[in-house]
Amino acid sequence: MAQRDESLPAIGYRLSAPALEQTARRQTSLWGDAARRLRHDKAAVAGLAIIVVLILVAIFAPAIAPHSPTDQSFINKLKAPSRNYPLGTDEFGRDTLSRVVYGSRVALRVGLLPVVFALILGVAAGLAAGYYGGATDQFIMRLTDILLAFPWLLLAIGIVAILGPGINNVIIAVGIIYVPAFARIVRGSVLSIKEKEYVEAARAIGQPDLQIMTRHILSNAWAPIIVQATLSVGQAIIYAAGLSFIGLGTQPPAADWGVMLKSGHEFLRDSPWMGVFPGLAILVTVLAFNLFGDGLRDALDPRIR
Amino acid sequence: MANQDRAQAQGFPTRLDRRALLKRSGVVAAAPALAAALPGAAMAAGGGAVSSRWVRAQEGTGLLVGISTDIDHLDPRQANTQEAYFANANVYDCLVLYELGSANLRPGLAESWDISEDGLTYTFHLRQGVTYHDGTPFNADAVITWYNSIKEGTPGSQFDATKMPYMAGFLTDLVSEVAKVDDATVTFTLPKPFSPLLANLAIPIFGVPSPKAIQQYALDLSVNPSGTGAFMLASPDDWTRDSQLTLTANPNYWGGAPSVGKVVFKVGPESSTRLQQVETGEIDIALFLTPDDVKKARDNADLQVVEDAGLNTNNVEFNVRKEPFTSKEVRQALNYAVNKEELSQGLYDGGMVAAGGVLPPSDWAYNPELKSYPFDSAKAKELLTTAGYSEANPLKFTFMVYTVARGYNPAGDRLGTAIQEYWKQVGVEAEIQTEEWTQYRADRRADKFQVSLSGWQGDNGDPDNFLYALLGKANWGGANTSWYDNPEVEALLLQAQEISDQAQRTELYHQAEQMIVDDAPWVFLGYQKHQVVVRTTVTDFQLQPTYIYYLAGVKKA
Amino acid sequence: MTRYILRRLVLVVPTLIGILTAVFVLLQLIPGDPAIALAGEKATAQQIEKIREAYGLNRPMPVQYAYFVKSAVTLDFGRSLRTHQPVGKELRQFFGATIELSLAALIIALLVGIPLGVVAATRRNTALDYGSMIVALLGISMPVYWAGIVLIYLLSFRLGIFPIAGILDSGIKLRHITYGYVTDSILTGNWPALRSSLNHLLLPAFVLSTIPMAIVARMTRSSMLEVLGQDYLRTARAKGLRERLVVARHALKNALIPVVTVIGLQFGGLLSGAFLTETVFARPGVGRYVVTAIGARDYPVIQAVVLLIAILFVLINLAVDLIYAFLDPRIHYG
Repeated sequence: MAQRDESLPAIGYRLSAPALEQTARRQTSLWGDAARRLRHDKAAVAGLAIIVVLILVAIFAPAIAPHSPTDQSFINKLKAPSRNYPLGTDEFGRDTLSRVVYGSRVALRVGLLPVVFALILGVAAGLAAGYYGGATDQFIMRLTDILLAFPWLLLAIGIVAILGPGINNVIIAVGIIYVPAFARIVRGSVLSIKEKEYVEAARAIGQPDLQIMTRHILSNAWAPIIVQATLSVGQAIIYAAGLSFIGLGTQPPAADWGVMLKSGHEFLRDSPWMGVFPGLAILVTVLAFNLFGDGLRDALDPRIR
Repeated sequence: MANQDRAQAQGFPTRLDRRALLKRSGVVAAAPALAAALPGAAMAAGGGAVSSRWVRAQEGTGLLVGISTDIDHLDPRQANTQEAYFANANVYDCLVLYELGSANLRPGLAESWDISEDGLTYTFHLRQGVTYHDGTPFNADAVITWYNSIKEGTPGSQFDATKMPYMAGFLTDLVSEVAKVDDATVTFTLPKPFSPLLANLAIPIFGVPSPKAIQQYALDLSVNPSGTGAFMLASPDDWTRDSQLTLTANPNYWGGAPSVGKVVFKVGPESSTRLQQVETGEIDIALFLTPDDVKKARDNADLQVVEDAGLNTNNVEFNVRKEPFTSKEVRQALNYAVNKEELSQGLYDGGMVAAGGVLPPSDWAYNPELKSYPFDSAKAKELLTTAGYSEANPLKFTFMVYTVARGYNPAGDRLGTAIQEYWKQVGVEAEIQTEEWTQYRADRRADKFQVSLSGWQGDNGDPDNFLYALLGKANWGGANTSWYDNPEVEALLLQAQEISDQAQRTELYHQAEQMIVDDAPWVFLGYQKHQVVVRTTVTDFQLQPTYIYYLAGVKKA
Repeated sequence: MTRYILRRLVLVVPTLIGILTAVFVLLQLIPGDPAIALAGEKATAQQIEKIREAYGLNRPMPVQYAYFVKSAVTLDFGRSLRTHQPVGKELRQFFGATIELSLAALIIALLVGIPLGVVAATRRNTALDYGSMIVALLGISMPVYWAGIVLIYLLSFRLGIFPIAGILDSGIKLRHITYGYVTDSILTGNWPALRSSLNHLLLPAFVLSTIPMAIVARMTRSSMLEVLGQDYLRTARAKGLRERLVVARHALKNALIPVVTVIGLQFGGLLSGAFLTETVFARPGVGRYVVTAIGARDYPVIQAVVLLIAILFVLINLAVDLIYAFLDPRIHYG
């Protein structure tokens, strides 16, 4: 089963139940070893470096961007890359470079927040399902089955149709897509740990369920969760940009790579810079999270490779 | 009521597919000389040569028309998109037709008509010897069968044609009886006079399908069309949804056999795609190009831009019953803050004429003297200060923006972004909330907005169709979604409805419109030109003000 | 084993009922009224009410649900509110094109991805390995719509090698059987149409193939690595079989088992990607069909598409789990 575990979470594609549970059952608690291994993984270090740079760019966007990302100037519209506008301008005469720079803020939000959202809901659901078993387990697992039964785009479009477009709703929509994955990983971990002696012992001395779950079970299940989370961030950025691309995402005039790609598609024939550069930004960002996530996974699970 | 904007009214299927038509491509045409120097009519303006290898031999393929979204029905009774109106107008004939290039009327399936002096009886003398595509002869019975199918709907189906409000509002509600006098004569009896009836009958939704097809196919007539028009669907395989529709010339057309053997409607959602295709000759006529693309087409010697003034208005609507838009100062300030001239050039590349008021220049009651709101940010700031706003206490509100491109606003939601930026310049913080067309429309009607993009496409050129439809109290929650009500204006508009003298009416409308402009329930933006890009090999192509095109007389070299 | 299969089969039923209910609830939650959508912006409140009545939109919720379940069970979704055509008929047309695009992408993904993975595994830790894996990593990190845009710009707008948009040239007639354009061209022996439809298919199919290609490559590589380390291959080598033969005859066969099963799991991603690809290339297909339907609140169409896809999904997942259980005797299910 190792093969399936290795590549699939990276893609963010839906896994069938047994696969994910298997991932989770493979417990590791080799944090020190992992950190050491990670340091020697050049690709992962490169990924991490890009992520750090991205975060810095997002924080210092006003200092880095040569122009305002929203000020329009019709005289300068649709200019090809030049000295003043290194990546050209868009249909409002706004500087593409500045918008790409500011877009990193949106990208980090739509990458991280859905994963946090999914993490909270998914961990809670997975814990409950694994720990209590029985009807609770069945109910939660059927619910995840249902969520998994829709292609991500269809599910996200549906959720956004209900909540209305806008970045916060996109975050929720993309977050919901990831809930089943986390729920299943956590459930798998719980199942494998639940019967361990120390948990039984804790139960025997009458510790409350919640305490057992957080103190004994969750603390031992972090590794696969973190790997899944890291790999999900990149994918979440692609998903959110995809929603913006079909017009359901960030509201104007905010700089968002997906929205920029959408305009870029419309102006593709004569102003290709409008779409090429934001897409490149997405590619580099997602690549960074995938490199780092892959490295993290290899570091935490020495049995593969 | 009324409208050929019915198409546009339908949330999605306006000709301007949501993500599609919002496009304008930019860039000043850079290489016309280069383009002209290269053979094959394949070069495009713009950064460099655009290759033409994809031009296939299109000879014998007939007239190729590039449209942005699918034709939904080849049944005039069910047609719902602008494209469908256009296609149906060439497959079916109405009793009365528009003259080429104008909204004036000419005989169609009715060769002539008499109107009784009291205006209550219309007698139509039907054209003789006309045959449907399926071989059925056209006669009085055909008219009766068609009329009943609208009036009574299709039995046993939930898709009852009478449930389509336009059919009722434009015709069946206005007529009490349609009767056959003899094979070549029918009469329409009205409960009260209604002079625009003839004009209504020319709207393509009142094309008269074959009675045999109506009975045989019911609602599936839409995929088994049979009319009397210049073109027909020769085989079901000629129609691929969301892709292309091929119509074949009707050699027996009563108006004379069409010049081209075939018409192919080709769906290409992106404006830039259609521009590229019309440049390379993959299509001959490109509809609904964005202003930028139209501009590029002007620089191409192989292309011509056919245009007219357009019968529409593009505006921003305030919900005048809601704070803070109850304040006239606020509304006027937001008017002064917007640079309409720059929008016209910058966003629409000259495709929009900046507005003075409500009525477009093509309307007979248009007032060129109207005093409106020039761009003046100092004045805007002053008014805002008067209204109690300052840097510490800025005016803030939500600005609802639709996402589709419209006939009156081919820039779609970009218009919202541009206006928001103008307001920002005078210290106003508008937060854009884009909404799916359906949702946008529902929210406006339900009074759930503060400020919103808006616009209107005229139906018949009558000023009442703009002024009372959009600003009359009876239309609150209908088309009057600014919830505007000025008793003086209301009185003037109602008075004008009852007068037939055009000069007198004009006087009343001028008075009313000036009051409306002073009240500023809208930001008056402009009027969009109606533009179609056509290859120079195509001749005799004419625009109809109602955004349909008769293709029977169009020639292709 | 039999017990496991039975259990999985039985569990499909509540899942399907759940999906059915979820779709119904979702539809109720979507704001916006199909009656308003149909009526247009110039209709009066009275006309809207008339439409609501005519379409049964004013029936009590449980009654609407009952109708909904009935339509799902009988797979008769009635007619589209927008086009008034039977939904099943329309769906068939659009599904054909989407499925053809997806299958073409899958074939490209396998044809490129498997060799890439094999090369990477057999030349482990060489430049070839790193190269292949970087390509694969780029594949999963790249938004398909961006890849589409870049390729359209270069190959269509600049070089004119491929058409910019659409599915078939104007003026070419094609009789439809499956509504897969290439398939129909072959089935009807229509060579101009085949040439034209292939030309229109190649670029979008390639774009769509990038993600599954990357997954297949990574999968093949790790699977190969595991198999190559197995005892029986050492035996084969010890017997003096040439390395190439070992790889081809023994290793690849076994390594492909998980690859083949994983393909089923790509379905959802592939379909989502297909929707976006259709948008970029302006191809008719289920993606545009359902997005338009959501915009128009065309309930019968949304119901049909979502249900069909969900059911297809559940069945494919079931099949994958079963094949897995069947192929891999190491796994024991309770």
